[in-house]
This record gives sequence, C-alpha cells and structure tokens, in this order.
Amino acid sequence: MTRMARLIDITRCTACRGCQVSCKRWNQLPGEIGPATGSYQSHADLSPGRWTMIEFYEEKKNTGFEWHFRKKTCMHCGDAGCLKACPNGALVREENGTIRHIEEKCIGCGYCTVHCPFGIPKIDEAAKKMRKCTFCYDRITNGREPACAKTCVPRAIVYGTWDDMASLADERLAQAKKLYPNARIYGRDELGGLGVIYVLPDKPSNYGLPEDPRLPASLGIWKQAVHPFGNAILGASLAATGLAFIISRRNAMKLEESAKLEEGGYKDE
Amino acid sequence: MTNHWVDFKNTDVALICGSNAAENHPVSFSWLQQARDKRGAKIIHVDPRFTRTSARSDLYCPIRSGTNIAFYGGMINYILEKERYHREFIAHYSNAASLIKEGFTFDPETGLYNGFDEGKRAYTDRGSWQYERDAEGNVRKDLTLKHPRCVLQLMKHHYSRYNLETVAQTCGAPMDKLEEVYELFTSTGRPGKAGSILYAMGQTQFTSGSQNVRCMAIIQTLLGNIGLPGGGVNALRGHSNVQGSTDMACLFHLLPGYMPCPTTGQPDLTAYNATTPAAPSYWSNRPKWIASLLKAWYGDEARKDNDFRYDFLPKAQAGKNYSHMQLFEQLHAGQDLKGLFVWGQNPVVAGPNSRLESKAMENLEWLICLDPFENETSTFWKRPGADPGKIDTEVFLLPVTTFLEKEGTVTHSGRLLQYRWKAVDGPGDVRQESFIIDRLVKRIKALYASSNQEKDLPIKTLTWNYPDPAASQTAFIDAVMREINGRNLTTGKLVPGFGALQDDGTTDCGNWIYSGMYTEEHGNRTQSRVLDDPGDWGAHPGWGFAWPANRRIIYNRCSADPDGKPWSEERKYIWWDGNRWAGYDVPDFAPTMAPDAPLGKKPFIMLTERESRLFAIGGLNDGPLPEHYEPVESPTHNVFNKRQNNPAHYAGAAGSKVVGEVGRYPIICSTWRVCEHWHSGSLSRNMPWLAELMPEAFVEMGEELAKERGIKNGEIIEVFSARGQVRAMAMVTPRARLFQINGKPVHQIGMTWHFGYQGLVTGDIANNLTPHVGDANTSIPEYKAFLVDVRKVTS
Amino acid sequence: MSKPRMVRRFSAVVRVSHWLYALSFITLAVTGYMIYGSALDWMIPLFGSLEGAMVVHRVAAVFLIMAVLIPILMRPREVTAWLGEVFTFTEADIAFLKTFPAKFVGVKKKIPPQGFYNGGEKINSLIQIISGVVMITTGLFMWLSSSPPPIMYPLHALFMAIGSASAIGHIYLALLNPISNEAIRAMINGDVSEKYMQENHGQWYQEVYKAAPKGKRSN
Repeated sequence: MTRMARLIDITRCTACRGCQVSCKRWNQLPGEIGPATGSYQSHADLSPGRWTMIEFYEEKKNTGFEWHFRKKTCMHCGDAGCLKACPNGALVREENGTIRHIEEKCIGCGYCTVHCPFGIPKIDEAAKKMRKCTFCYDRITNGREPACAKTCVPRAIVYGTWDDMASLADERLAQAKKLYPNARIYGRDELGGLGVIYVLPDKPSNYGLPEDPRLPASLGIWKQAVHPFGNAILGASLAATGLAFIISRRNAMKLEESAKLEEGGYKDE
Repeated sequence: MTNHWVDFKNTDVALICGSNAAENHPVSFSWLQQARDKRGAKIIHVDPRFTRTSARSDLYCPIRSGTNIAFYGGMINYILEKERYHREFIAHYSNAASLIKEGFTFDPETGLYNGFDEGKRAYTDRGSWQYERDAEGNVRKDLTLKHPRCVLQLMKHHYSRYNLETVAQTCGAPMDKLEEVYELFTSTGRPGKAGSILYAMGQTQFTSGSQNVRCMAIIQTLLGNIGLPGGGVNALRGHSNVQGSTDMACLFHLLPGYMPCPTTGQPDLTAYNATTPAAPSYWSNRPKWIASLLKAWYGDEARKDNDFRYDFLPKAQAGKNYSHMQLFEQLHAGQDLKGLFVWGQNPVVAGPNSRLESKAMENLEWLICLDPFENETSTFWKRPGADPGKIDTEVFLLPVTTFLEKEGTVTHSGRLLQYRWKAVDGPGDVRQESFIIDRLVKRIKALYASSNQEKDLPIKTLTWNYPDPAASQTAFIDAVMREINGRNLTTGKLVPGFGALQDDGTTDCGNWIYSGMYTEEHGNRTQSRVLDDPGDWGAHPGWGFAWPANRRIIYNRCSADPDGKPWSEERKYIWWDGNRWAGYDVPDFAPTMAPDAPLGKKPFIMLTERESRLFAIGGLNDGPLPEHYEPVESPTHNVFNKRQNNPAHYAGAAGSKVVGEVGRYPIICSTWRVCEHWHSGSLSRNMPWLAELMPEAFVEMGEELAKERGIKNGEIIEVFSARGQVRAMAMVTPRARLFQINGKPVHQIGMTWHFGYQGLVTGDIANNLTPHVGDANTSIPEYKAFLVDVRKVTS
Repeated sequence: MSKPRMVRRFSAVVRVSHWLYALSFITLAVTGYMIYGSALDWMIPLFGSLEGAMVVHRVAAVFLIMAVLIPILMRPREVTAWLGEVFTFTEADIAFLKTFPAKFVGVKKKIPPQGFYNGGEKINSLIQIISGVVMITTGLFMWLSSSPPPIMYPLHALFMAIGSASAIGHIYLALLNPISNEAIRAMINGDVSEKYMQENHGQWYQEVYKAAPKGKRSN
C-alpha cells in the first residue's frame, strides 16, 4: 500500500474545531473540561484523551494583525523518533505510513514522549499506556478518510496519498502566498517527510513548530552505539565468566586430583 | 436569503458584515473557499472585532457596533458619486427613475422625515412617501435619472452627507480600509461580476435593524447583484430551522406564508382581504391562500358563504405589539398572562435584560418547558438570588428529543426544505414535539367536546385527522406535510403548487409558500436527494425543495437584461429563448411571459410596481430611506443629523427601559456567539465535547483597556450596565479594540451570551446587561450595542 | 584442625546495604533489561506483565537508593574509608591486576600483599560507584522529569551495560570462583579467616597486626 498523508492548510482553517470533536467522537474519548486557558484555545496541550487540538496564535505584524490556528496532531513522521525510542516494539510503521501503536506491547515507559520533536505522545498514567493520534487507522484501512479530514468544512485538512498531498501543497501554497507572502510548506522534507504536510502562513516557529525538526542526537547514539555496545559487553562478560567458570572447575579438579594422588590415589567408596 | 449556501461559491466578492460566518455558520466557508479557489474571489469582513471570520478574510475593516447605516450609507454615497451602479439594471428593475411626490422631505436638523408625530413617536402621515402618478395613475418616471425628485437623485442628495471622512469618524474605521472595502465591493457593479452580502444578527439586533437590511437591498440593487448567481442579500439564520419557524409563522404578526395576522380592525374576511396588495403584485393572490389555509384548519365547516370561518381566527388588537419584549413586559406588570409554554427556548439566558424577564416569570401560575435538558428557564425559580419559597409558579418540564432523535423537515437559510430522518431513539421517555402537540390538541379537544358554547367552536371545529404519531411518527408527519402542501378537495389529489390554489373552497393548503413540496408527480420532494447540477451553479434542483416553487435564487429574472438575454455569458442563469424562459433554475416569472409583454421586464413580482424599492414607498416605520441614528446607548452624538436615536424605535414599557449614560458607562459592549456553543448553551453546555472547548464565560477586551484598568488576561472581572452586572474571565486580546469615534477614544468589548447557571459549564448570564429596547419595525432587541463599564474583582 | 581465627571485615550495616544493593541491582538489571531489550521477555510472567516489571523496576530503584543512603548516613566513616581506598591505586593493586586473569580462571598465583580491598575489588567498586551515580541520576530524571533531556536514555543504558558486565564478573568471583569465593563469607557474616586475610590481603594483615596483637579485631 502507498504511504498516505494529511495536508493541513492552516491558511484556510477557521478553527471551528470540528476536527477536535470528531476525533473524540470517533475514538470515543472523554470531554475534559477546563481550566480555561485565557484564550480560545481549549487546553494547554494534548493529553492521553485528546489526540488533536487547535492551537491559537495571535500575530502582530507590520502588515497588520493576524490570527492563525494550527491543528496539532501526530505527524506520523517518515523518520519517527517515537518508533526508534520505543524499547518494546509497541510502535510500528505500517505500509500506509501510519505510526501505529500496539497497545498490548506498550508499558507507558514514556521514551516516545521524550524523543518526539513535536511533543505529541502522551502517557495515560493510570493505564500505563501511551496515547496519540492513530491516523484513524481503523477508518483508513477500511477505505474511509480520517475523522478530522472528513469533518473539515473549509477543507483545510485533506487526506490522500503522500505524493498527492505533497503536490497539492504546492497548489495550496500558491493560493496562500497571495495573502501571506511568507507562506511555506512544512513537513515535505522534514524527518523523511511527515505524514502531515502543513501549509503555513509564516515560519514554523510562529506556530509552535520546530524550524528544523531533528531527532535528538542521543537517540542515534543510543540506538546505534550504546545499544549494540551494551549488548556486546553484557554478552562478553557472560561468556567470559562462563568460560572462566569451566576452566576454573577443571583447574580445581586437577588440583584435587593431584592432591588425592599425593594422598595415595583414589579410594573406592 | 435571496440566494443559497452553495451559491456562495459563485461570488466574486463576499461582503460579510454583521456576521461571524466562519464561526457561526462554518459551512459558509466551505463555499466561500471554493469561490476563492475557483474564481479568485475576495472576502471582506466588516465587524467591530477581529474574529475567526476576519482571520480568514482578504480584507478586514473594523467598525463600531451600531454604525452599520453609516457604513452602508457611505457605500451608497460612494456608488452614486463614482457612478458604480449598474445603470441599466436600476433604470429598469428598480424605482430609481420613479418620481416621489412633492412634499417628501428629510431634515438633518431634526433628523426626521416629514409626517412625524412626536407624541405618538411615529410617522403618522406618510402620504408624500409615494410615487407621483400621471392622470392615468401610472408612476411618473425619468429614465435619464436626472429629475431632482427621482429616487436616484433623492438618494444622491440624502447620502451626500455620508462622505468617507464623516463615516470613518462615526464608525471608528480607518479611512483607507473603508475606502478599500467600498472600492472592492462596488467593483461588482459591472455585468459579469457578482458580489454577495452575508449578514446575521450583527445587522438586525439594533434599534435600526430593519433599515440595516434595507441598506443591503439598496446596495445590491444599485450594483445589479440581485437575482444572479453569486449575488444577493443573504441572511445567515441563527439555527438550522429559523427559516422554517418564520415560514410557519412562529411570530405574533403573521400567519403561515407571511400573510399578516388578522387584527381587530379586520372583523371579517372581506376586511382582511381588503388589505391585499394590488395586482400585479403576486400578493394579489392572497385571498386564495387565506381561503385554502382556513380550509386546511377548519375543513368542511369552512365554506365560502361563512368566510371560511375567518371568525374563528384569533384577532390581534390592532396596533398592539405581541413580540418577545412586550410579552415579558406585560408579564412583569402582572397583566393577563397566566401561563407560558416555552418550546425549545431559553429566555432566561437568551432574552434581553434577562434579570427583568426572570423576575417577570415569577408572576406565572404555570410554566411548561419543552427541552432536552433542564435549562435556566425551567429552573428560573431557583436562579441565583431567587427565593424558591416565594415563587408559586408550577413548572413542568417535558423532555423532548434532540434533532438527531426526531424526524421531519428543516428549512435552512437558503429556503431549502430538507427531510431529516431519525438517527437514534432518544433516551428514556423523551418525545418528539409533534407527538406532544398531537396529544395536547387531542386532550384540549376532548375537554371541549361537550361544550355547546359558541366561543369553543374553533377548538371543536379544528381538523385533526392525522394518524397517531405514537403508532408512526412518519405517517403523522406525512399527513401534516400533505396538508401543508395543499390538496384539490374535489379530486383529493395534492396540488402541484400554489398556482393551483383557489379562493372558492375547492383547495386547502397549510402554507402557500411550501406548496409544491409534496406533489402527485414528484412525491415528497423534501426527501429527494438528486445531485445533478445543470449549469454548475450549485442550484441542485433535485436536492430537497426550495420555496417558492423550488426556486433556488429568487428574482432570478434579474440575471437577464430587459430583453431576456443574460447580462453576460459568464453569468448565464435564466434567459428568454424566444418562446419561454429557460435556464438552470425555476424562473420566478410566468414561464411564457415574453420580455416585451407589459410586465415582461419587471422581475420583482411580489411588489405592486414589480420594481426593487430603493425608496420604500409608504416607508418602514422609521422612514423610506435608511438614516443613521445612534444606538439607544451610545458613547457619542449623531453627526449625520440632530436626532440621537431612531425616532420610532421600540422603547419598551415604562420601567423596563433602563438606559445608561456614557459618563457612568463609557465602554461599548456587544454580545455574540462562538462556534463551539449553541445559543443559550442548553445543548452545548451539556455536551462534554463542546463544553470542553469553551469552558468559561469570557469578556474580550483590548490591551489598552486592560492596561488602563490593571486587568490581566485570565482574571475574573465584573462587567456592569444600567441593568445589571456579570462576572466573567477577562480575555485580553488585540482582537478587541480601541476605536477613535468623532475624535475621542472609545473602548469596545464583548461577551458571548451562551452561559447560564445550569449544565456542565456555567457562567453568568450576559443578557443581564442588555437593554429592553428594540427595532422600530420588528422590535428585535438591541443586543449588539449598549454601554457598560468593567472593574477588577478584588475579593 | 582448630577453628580458624576470624577477623571482622564488614560491619552489619555495610553488609545489609550491600545485599540490599545487590538484590535491587539484580532486580533492576533484570526488569530494566526486559524494558530495554527482549532477551529476558520470557521472564515477563514473573512480574505479571511488562507494566508490572516497570513498577518493580521503580520499587527496586527506591531500595537501591536506600542501600546507598543507609551506610552513608549510618556508617559515614566506613564509607569514606572505602572511597578513600578505592580511589587510591597502589602498585600492589596493579600487580594484583596482572595476576587477575589467572585467578579469574581459578589458577592460584602468588600475589603481592593487598590492602583492605584488592585491585579487582577496587576496579569493581569504581565501576559500580560511577555507574551507580549515573544510573540513579539519569533514572531519577527519566522517572520524575516531565521532559527529561534525551541524553539520559543512552547514558542509563550505557552504564546499565557497563555496571552489569562488571557485576556479572563480581558475582562469579564471589560465588563460583574457587579461589576467591571465600570473600563472600565476609559479606555474609562479616568475618574472614586470618589465613585468608594473610593470603589475600597481606597489607591489611600487616596494618592490623602491627597495631594490635593477634586476635579478633573489632570495628
């Protein structure tokens, strides 16, 4: 199957938050009321029970005041930090590009939360499970679009193959540039191509996104150096002691034998 | 709407004024976005605060609450001065060329048109607000549009006071933005271009609300934006079936289909029919519609020889206002009203000056509320500050289904009737309202069955021969819909449309404008779901049924020039093909009336002169041309004329009108809605997924005001007006602003009115602040502009 | 043969904390490895589930930290003495390390007289001290911080491997190695025989008996 993606064109989002509600409805997640944030934003961040939300950004620019709304959700990265960090194989990459979470394997260790450059995975401390957007895996593998894309009225969220979304992004960018000269595409080249391709009105950091998202260097050191090295020295030490044990037993037996010989040879019992 | 939702995709410029379309009508943006994508359309937003609609618009221009007529007056002036109007269009299709009688005047020194009676606060002599006619009775016209008394010249004169500078001063709008808006929108005055105006309560909820709407009609007529795709005056109604409820006359002054409610001045049918507009207005058919309506209600007992039992209809006291505010004022005064049915409404939260209205309800003997939830109205007796021990009202709450749990039609803003089937059963013993009505009527009829008194005859006679909704809701609704559509009583067949209705008792019809929705040929058309779209204008004639006569864009004769040719090939919609009117919609014209027939060039079929009234002959209650007056509570003086407030506005009963002075209450406040909550919040505040999105009542205020008062974002503050005070969270944002009004800085703030004391999320009732004053014509309350002050809550 | 004369090597507190440390260390290593790798996943049922193992990991971590804190609080002088010893490497220690490979496979070699700790013990102590500090620090970050610096994870894993490898050697020497396994007695009942002391910790023997007559030395 080909890799799928969502295009999120935030220059069209009207922040109706239908996506936020339809996500909760489809996934049967609870309403989490309050505390008020002091803005239209419903909550400060995602939570184990809130896999997507709209973040509100007020921008005072020379050209005038702007108000933008970014749908925050799992990017299903091409090069996924969560997946690399997960020690238990609880995260897998499906052929359609979904970074899928295998509930039974997850122990809520939180390694994924630390290694996600976007701060997406959240740990349900009671259940000891990580929770995040599933890309509506159950829907998309049954020929439907994700709940958020389905409900998006101004078609700010579009679902399709990654290649189609990547080229649609160009079309949308041309449109967006008319109003926002600094508009740009985000997620097409980042981290092996994200499963979410944004059309942004301005630079990513204005909307809470890292300018140049990278996986922490330590993740590479950990997985490529420490992990094999650790296994190697553990194996080596086990092997060495095992070998030493055998040799020392034989040495000890030899000693005993020579001692017995000195005492006058074997005695049958 | 003259047009419809899908039609927004056809516009070149959308002017959203007095509406927060992106938030409160999100679907509109689906189509507006398409217009942008496919036509490079521009979206303009004109509003006191920067909303999610502004965020997604190409051009935003702030104006102070309550200055719409100044803003539109400026645009009218701009159009007339720069000759942006569609000359041929207005010459033929409007009354621009018609001469108005001598004697019509407007005096800026008094701010009054001629004929005002100061004692009655009304224009009692409107005789000169009429066309000048020749000896044969024909309206005198000057097609050169030069005569000083022709409508266009009168308007030119009238609106010359609305120059950019004065408008900018009054509206507090930056002059360059204002000019940009005028320039962009009036660019649609050319053939081939179309501009659409989208509006909502930010136009209507003022003491000059009706005149605001008139302004839009005038502008769209001047620009030739009526009757063609992508144009029109489009009211975004407040919920999915407001259109349906007004169509079916859930209003005190109307019968179904916008026929006026009989008054004590019209004791018999002859007197009632005497008020019928003259031919060639299509309204001249009204006697057929009222006869058919009475047949539908009183059956065999309604006969031509007994006036179809017109005498059974309750008569409103001539000249008396029975609107929402009046009702509660009467209740407050302890007069007449013993009981109240509240169906799916929540006046304690939604009514103006809600403290007064809640207090008034204490005078009720009984109150019956129908709602899915126990809302603030059904619990008014235990509202904060009330003493339940002292309230004797007996309250009944009948739990009813939500929209997903019932079936029937809804009529949206585009006049489209769509049948909705039930998705799920409601919980417990909840019932659909139609079931409750059925049982109520049957019970009342049973109580009166043995009465021999004359006065009880209307109840006894009322026909109620529907299948039992308890057995089949579907069958019940089907029978009601057939009755609303109308039948030929001789053949027993459904009529094909209102054209078949008669005034001799041979037809019945529950609502003439809905006639045609259920026919022998097409069946129940509200259930039809055919997506075909000839012409690709989004008319989709096979999807549901749009009144009247399945017409998607009304006045669509205007899309063609006087000779019946489309104004432009790009906007070809309806045209004369030599034998008949052809096109992509149902022509609102006799299909074979040729352009050279006497009325063949007159598209506005509901009016006697069949022309769009730039000048409203006979006038609205507050004049024939819109004129700016300040809201009842205003921080400044009226610079356009010397009259501060609309001279004929609804001022309320003594004791209910409490007006705050600017010295004490220096800040303008407005109430509004957000996408996440639904009206009084009784549904959305009980829905965790919606409640979490906006968990607290808040006040949007500008950074300058916050700094002035030492208020920080997120703090609880108190807002107080002459009527009351509320507490809410301060949301400090550059989206709310400081206006420069006539040289003085004035802050404008606003709050949502979604909150109350019941539900998962609660908050103070914003309508504690709003005044009991209303529009001169409709008495809609002035919710959108009033004065307040704010203070930090220190305790 | 008469009962060998015994010398007290480790106080009760130190012994208790050593075993507490040892047990928690093993538990942490096993549960940690279950989280970190998959070779020990067959042991999951022992903890009910992997989540159970994680809970045990954290409980064990608390015990391990206690095992560190107990001697520091109750026997500070013994701890400082130990630290002083392990951070001072003498020629004798180096000489010991030269003979260590032979000793490791059970071949007795004459070794130069060693102090209270021999060179091998010092090396293990050093490794355990450093990895212990790193593991506790990084572990606490990972446990308690809402956004721990990602570097904590490879550090934790790295020192887990180093500490465990060293511990495996330590355990082998203590339990299975025929030459040195007498040392474990010192950790069980606190005493070693004078003979063992003389043979394995000559310097210490000298220090003790220079200062005091032969006999039981008390701490």
